Amino acid sequence: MNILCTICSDLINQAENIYVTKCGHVFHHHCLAQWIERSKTCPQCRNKVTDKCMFRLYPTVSNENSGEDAATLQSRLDDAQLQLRQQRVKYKENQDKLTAVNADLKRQDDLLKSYEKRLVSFDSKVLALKEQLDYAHLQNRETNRIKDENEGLKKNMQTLNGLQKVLNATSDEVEKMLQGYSDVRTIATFATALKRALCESETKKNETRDRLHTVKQQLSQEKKNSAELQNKVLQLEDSLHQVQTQYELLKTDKDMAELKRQVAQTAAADRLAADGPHSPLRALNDAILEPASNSSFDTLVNNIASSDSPYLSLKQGNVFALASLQRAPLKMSDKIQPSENLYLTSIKNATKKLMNEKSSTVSTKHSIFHKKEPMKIESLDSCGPLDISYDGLGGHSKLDTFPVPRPTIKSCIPKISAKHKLKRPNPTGSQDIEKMLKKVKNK
Amino acid sequence: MAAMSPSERRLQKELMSLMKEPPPGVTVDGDQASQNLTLWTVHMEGVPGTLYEGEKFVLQFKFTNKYPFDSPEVTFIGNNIPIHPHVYSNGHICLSILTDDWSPALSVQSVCLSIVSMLSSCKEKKRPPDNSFYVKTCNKNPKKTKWWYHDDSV
Repeated sequence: MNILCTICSDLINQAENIYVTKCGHVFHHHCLAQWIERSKTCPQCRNKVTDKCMFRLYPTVSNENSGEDAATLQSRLDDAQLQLRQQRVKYKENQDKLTAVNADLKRQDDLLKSYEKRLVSFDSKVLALKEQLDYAHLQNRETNRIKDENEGLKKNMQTLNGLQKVLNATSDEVEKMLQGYSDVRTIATFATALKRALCESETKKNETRDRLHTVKQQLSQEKKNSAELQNKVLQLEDSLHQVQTQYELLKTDKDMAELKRQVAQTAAADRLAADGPHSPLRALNDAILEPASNSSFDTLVNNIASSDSPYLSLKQGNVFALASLQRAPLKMSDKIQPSENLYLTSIKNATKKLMNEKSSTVSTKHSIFHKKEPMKIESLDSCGPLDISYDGLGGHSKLDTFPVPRPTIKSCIPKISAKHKLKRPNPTGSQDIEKMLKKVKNK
Repeated sequence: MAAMSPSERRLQKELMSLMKEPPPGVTVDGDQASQNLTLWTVHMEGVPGTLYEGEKFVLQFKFTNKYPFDSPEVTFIGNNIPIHPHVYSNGHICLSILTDDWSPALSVQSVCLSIVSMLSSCKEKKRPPDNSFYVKTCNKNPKKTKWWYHDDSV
């Protein structure tokens, strides 16, 4: 016997609480009770049902072929099928879940792999960046070092600039500048530099002084030479004078001879006139005699006057040159011989050079720290006015000194001044000689 | 399977029996129902020899976890809502056993039979007289409607 509870549609087991309504319908107790709470009717016939009008049923079921009948089996089969269905559903769900999880796993695996790859790449990148960082550090250090060096160089440059300024500027400017500098070291550097510059200028000064001395000596030597030459000129003039006197003597002798001859000739002519026409022979004799004597004298004089002998011309040129050195340099150069000209110009140049050197060294040498007066050197040009007063005619009252560059150092060359006096009469002497020569020529 | 609630057990059994021995012209979408036991879709054909012969309707059953003590929510869905004096155009059905007269002894099969019989007994295809008003004002859930069962003849 299989009783079905229509509420839960399950078979009613005899072990369960079975209740029956007043109208005779059988349900599980819990099914009926649940329904009675909502509606006090019989689920099957809608008759009124209350808690009091339903009763528990206690059936006695025989054990014969219990559960073996078709209905029971059918019910069991249904149950089993239901369970199977549910299991299948569950299995399918689980299968789906498994595949999903597998897919997820695979995805995660891939992700992991990609992350590993990225990790590796990041590692390498990190390494590269580290290397770059190291390199940058290195560069930074290098740059810092260079910067420091630069700073030092800048400082040095500043100091050097200051030094240059100090060396070039005047004392007042330097004072101001030194007030501006507070750094002891810089000032010390400046001081040492200035000291060095001072020493250098001192040595230069000494050198220049030495050179000046040598030049002076040379000058004195030259002066001595010129004096000697003047002496020679004097001697030559004397000899010329002698020659002229001799010439005069000879001339007078010749005149005397001619007179004698003329006297003789006249006597002879008188004789010839008396004797006959021998006049052509006599004329020939005259012609031979006259030019011979005359030309010999003339040529001698001319030779002396226009001689290229260095002594004669030198004397002339020298005298003129000394006299009109400043006034007419062009004329002088015309008159004097090339060799003489060179000689003079060389002296002049040497003196000028010396002067220039002196002045230049003075300008650089005498720094602001010693306010020494630069050595005064009278140049050749400064002697101009003295010479200008000299008219070149010889009789001037003013002492005609050879242009000496430094009157201050006269004491060094006392001989020269003494020689000047000797030189003085020379121009007049030469003039005399010229006049005499002219006279001779005119004759 | 121990976790299966009494309502699920009963729905499972009902589904099995409905699939195994369905009433004429009624078929249940077993796959959809077994996926979700609380939402069934039942296809229904117009019974030959009635006004709805050849027509096809779709019924939707929604169950709560208190089934069978709570009645299911049954409505027509789809494009073809039967034109019937007790069926509103939004698919709601005016049927007493779906609300007040529900009994746990009733089942999906019995409800289907009731609806088939209701349609078959129809003599004139027309909408309920208060159709437009009801459709505008009604709740989505037909069980919330306080039905006034005015005509027991059909």
